[in-house]
Amino acid sequence: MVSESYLMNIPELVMNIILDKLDFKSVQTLRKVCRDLRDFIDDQKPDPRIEEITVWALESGDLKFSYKNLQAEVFLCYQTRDGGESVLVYEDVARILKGEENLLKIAFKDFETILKHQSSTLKVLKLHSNHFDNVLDHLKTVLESRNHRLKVETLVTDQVMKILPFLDPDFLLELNLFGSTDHPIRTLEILEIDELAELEIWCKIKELSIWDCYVPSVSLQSFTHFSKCSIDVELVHLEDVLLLKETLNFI
Amino acid sequence: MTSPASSSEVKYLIESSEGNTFDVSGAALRQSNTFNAMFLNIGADGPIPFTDYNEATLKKVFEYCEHSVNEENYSGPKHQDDLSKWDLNFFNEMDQKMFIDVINASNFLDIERLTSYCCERIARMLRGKNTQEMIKVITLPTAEELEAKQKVEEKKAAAAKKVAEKAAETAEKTETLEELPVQQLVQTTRNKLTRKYLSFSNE
Repeated sequence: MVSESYLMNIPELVMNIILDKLDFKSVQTLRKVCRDLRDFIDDQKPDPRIEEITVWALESGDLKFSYKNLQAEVFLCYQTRDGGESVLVYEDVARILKGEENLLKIAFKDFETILKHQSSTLKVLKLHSNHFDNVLDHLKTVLESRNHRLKVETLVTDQVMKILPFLDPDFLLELNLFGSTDHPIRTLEILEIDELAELEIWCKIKELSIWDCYVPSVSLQSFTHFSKCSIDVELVHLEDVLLLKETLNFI
Repeated sequence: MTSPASSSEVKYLIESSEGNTFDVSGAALRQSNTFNAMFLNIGADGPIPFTDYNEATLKKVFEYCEHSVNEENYSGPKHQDDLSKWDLNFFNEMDQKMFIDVINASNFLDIERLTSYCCERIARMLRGKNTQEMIKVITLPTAEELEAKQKVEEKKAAAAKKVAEKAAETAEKTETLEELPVQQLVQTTRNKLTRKYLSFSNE
């Protein structure tokens, strides 16, 4: 059938080349054009090739997501307004979110959709969870449900245990941990360090820095394998120094 | 002056869907991987049948091949501003139907450069657009729709004449006249597209 309509008569192979040339924002927009395009895109699973994601959970309960790569940038802000109304602000336009689901669920559903076919490595993942446990739980659920673990090169977070086990251990190079901003200095629990150090991924990380937190001196042993490491220790015993000297000399 | 017959001087006969034949240089034809795989080694008796495509389309495709035989003439999918005058002309000469036919033919003949180049042009039309704008790009009007549009415009012109006689208050009427048919148009094209796309995926 010879038809004069446009994009729809293009062979699948060609359509894939076009999808490959489009940035993730355009692909997501194209997906909304009609049902057949949506089915086609869902079927082909084009890699969005996102390079940087930042998630902020604000004190007010609002959530902000930023997705970025060289070609495109998407900034989504999920807010609860005074009347209890949930809105999504995107490109300065507020859209009312209907339905029973809460803001958190909607936001992470979008997160899941956008990241679903990401197979290339994410350069940076930043999480400012503000120690809101439910935010992390949602994130954990999304990461856990993926067929392939998310590849991340640099992880910046204030809550590491809920995320680190669900990343691809072969790709994480750098880990940045920071304490909560309300309590400028707190002690990273011994338990937490022990749990961390037991993870396969911990041994593969090359660079580590921990901010606004003290590391207990008894766990110094777990930090000797990094090529670059920046931590604060409140009190160091002489034995610890000797131990470090010994271990590092050995290497 | 005699020179050995280099391969670029070899001409091949191509047969189009109309049954017409025309010749294309070997150098141009070798950009088609399909040709390389099917005919290059075994050779062809008589014209090579690319009878799924019409003459105009094939000529356009090989026009590009002839032009890009020389590496320096190839200005691949780069930034719009980098396009040479020749490239711009090449694409501007084509209407939508021709463009799609060329993509299809290029895809079948497996001419990587041309396919990639065409795809880049489409990608460029879609990039950075919102959904509504994309719908407009994708549903470029067909002949019937153009006709319908023309009728609408004639109506509009007639209405405008009337309006001109009256005062400014009637201006609103023309605006509603303007908007309504366009919305219907978008709707009908959307419905049509769905069906067409389905038929393509069944191929």
